[in-house]
Amino acid sequence: MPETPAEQIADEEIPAEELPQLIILDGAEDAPVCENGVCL
Amino acid sequence: MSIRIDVWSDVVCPWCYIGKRRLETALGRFEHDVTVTWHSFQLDPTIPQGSREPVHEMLAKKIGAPASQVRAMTHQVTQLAEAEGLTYDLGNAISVNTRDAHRVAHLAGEHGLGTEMHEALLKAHLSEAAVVDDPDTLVRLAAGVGVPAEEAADVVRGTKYGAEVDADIQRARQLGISGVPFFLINQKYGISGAQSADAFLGALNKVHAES
Repeated sequence: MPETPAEQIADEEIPAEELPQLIILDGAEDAPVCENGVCL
Repeated sequence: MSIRIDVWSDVVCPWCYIGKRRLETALGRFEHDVTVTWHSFQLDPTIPQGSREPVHEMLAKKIGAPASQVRAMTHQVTQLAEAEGLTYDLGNAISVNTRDAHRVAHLAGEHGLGTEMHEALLKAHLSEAAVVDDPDTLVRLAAGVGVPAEEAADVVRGTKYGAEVDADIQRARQLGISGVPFFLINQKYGISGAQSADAFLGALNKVHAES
């Protein structure tokens, strides 16, 4: 039987209901971020 | 009631330094107590340890554009940084794996100097073109904010705080964070990106009113 990846086990430690509710701010979609090593 | 802000950021992230300044502007206008804790995030954990490359060349490879085009594109973020009182030197900045910098930042955090260390690392990379995986540089920066140099050297030489870095990154993944800066207020409300100071202040007021 294949092993369960360690990452998968760890990700299940925090139940989904404990994850934060996100505030959607006006204009938030324009807020710049760096992602995948690119910050342009 | 004090408000808690957890921030995920990488020390080589131009938008994170701008976001940090904008958050600080908002905090200066906010009348209530706020505790800010900085967390590790690596924009590119695949960079081999010890590998060093000019940021413009690294970006050119990533986006498949000539370095001259990348220079023009980074001009915009440099100008926005100036508006926040920051002087960027991206033309001379060196891309490195930031894991060791984050490990030292965790040590600083244990001394209550996490914010100061994050500031020092951002400034070193973005404004001073310092190589932030260089052991001597990391020890110098840590000592500069008040971390005992011998403790910093011990961390830099070894693997301490690697688990803390991994835990921060894993928590970010669980929260669905794919880009930084990312701000989590009172463990409940998430705000992505280098928002304006007004936007941060509005969020703080909203959370305070609800608490």
